[in-house]
Amino acid sequence: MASRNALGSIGDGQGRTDTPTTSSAMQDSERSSSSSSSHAIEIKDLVCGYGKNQVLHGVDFDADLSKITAIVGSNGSGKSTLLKALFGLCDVKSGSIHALGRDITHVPTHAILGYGISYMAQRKNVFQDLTLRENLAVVAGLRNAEQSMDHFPELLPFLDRPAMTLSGGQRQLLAMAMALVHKPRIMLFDEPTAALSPKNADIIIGKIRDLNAKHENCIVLVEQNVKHALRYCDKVYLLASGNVVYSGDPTTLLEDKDLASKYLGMTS
Amino acid sequence: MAIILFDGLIYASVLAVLCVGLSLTYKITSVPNFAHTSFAILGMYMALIMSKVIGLSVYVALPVAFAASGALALFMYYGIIRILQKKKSSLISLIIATLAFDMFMIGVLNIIADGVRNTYQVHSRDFTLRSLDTVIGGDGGLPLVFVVTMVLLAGLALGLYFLLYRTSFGMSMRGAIENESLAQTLGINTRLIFSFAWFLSGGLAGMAGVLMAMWFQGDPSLAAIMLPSIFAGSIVGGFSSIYGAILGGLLVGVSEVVGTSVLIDLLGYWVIPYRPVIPFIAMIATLLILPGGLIQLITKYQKRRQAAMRARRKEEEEEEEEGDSIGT
Repeated sequence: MASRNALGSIGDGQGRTDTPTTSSAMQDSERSSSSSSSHAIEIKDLVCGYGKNQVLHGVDFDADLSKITAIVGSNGSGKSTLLKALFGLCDVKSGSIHALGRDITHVPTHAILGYGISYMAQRKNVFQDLTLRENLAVVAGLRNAEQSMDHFPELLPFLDRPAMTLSGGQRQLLAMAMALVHKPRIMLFDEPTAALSPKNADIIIGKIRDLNAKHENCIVLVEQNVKHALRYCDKVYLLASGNVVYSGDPTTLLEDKDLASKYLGMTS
Repeated sequence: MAIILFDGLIYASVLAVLCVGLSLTYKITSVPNFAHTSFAILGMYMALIMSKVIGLSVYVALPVAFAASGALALFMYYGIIRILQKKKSSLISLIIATLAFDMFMIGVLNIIADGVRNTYQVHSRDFTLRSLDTVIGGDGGLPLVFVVTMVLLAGLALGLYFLLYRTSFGMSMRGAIENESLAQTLGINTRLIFSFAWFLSGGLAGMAGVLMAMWFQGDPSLAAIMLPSIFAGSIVGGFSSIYGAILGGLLVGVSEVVGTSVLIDLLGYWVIPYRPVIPFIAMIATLLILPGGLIQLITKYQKRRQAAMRARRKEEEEEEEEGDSIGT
């Protein structure tokens, strides 16, 4: 449980403290406490980006099985890059990434998939020209395409329709179905509710929570809609300019008016 | 008349096979490959070597040419195209690179032609292997090359349909062509898919070259002569469509042969050197009137249908706003 100390910084009740200006101190203390832990994901001092453009500047991060961890922050804070780094989609300059006990820092994407990690991109996450069945067959094989819809019965009537004819919510459900085919232990979602109506966003989040409850996997998601994300996640990371400025309990973050207004644009 | 019919159908079918390969590599790398005909001419010389030098049936050259030209295409992809794409070279640079490779291959093919002539005393320029072919039903019957060409084209059309729409590998291929980065995040081996496509494209061109040598005259210069016809076929059909390429190749091929024959009847034999004007006219007319090629007509209809389906789904969703589930 996170708490606020006398200096106005945030702690999680385990000796870890954090302020927007002293994130490195927080990261140091986290590093010492996590060395003996067994998180599903453990990132230490990660520096990464795209080519010469450095986006993350020494990020520490961890996430556990059976939990939903949200990454929030304003545009350009490095949320999606952190998720991409976990999936081998950006250039890691220094630091380490461990997942399910393996070092995956410089492991290519196709090998990361084999370790039981899958990723759902924010946009263009289904093949538009292919039908639903074909989209699933690409991942599951033709014989198992229909079976992989077990968690998504609402899509069954549209199996032979091209993905481009689906609504936004249906496309997100299809992308989820594709990402879940190999029964991953770790699921990474990049803004799964982006550009969806509130009703469809609730349905997608409901699915994510159901999957988490049923399979006890580790879910990490990036969310723009902070209030929405903080309602259902177990742990939250707030990023700003490529640094972690808060990590811990979501309720505490919402209660912290300084952080909420400075980084999340919440006025009340 | 029978000769013109055979000429037209064999040439058009061979052209269609070549257009399919050109469109396939264009879809994958978005680069028009100006060296595509050199794969075919390599196949042509494979046929000459297998039949006149080694003494085997010319049809044995079909799988050999498939493998040799396929390997050459793969070499071009990994040795030039991929390297330039990794360096983020511009499209113009890539096009110039394919032109340079074509010039290099014309040189290599000339060396092969001279080597075969000097070493084995085999006529290796403006040669034809027509006399080696079997005629089904005796004199005036059906040339075997005609049957093989038709079977190859029909097999290609059906085989590609089966591959692309009935196998998960083919679906992955279509997916990787549409969105390579998504395919990679889903664990699809895009490198294998693209290698397969380039090998298939080169291999088909090699086989087309063998069949060309069985009916027409073979020469290294044919690489440059046939290039406008292949591009015209692909553009008339729709450059990024495999089935459009078959349609365009057949249309341009038949137009070239029948058109030239009609013009000879009307104007005399002096029109023969101007035969390449026909594919050029077809290409320019298509680009002016229907830039997406004939397949554009079909895709326009499909898009309209899909837009209607999307609109219907949106309406259904709005109606369901009070309901509990998506799209039901």
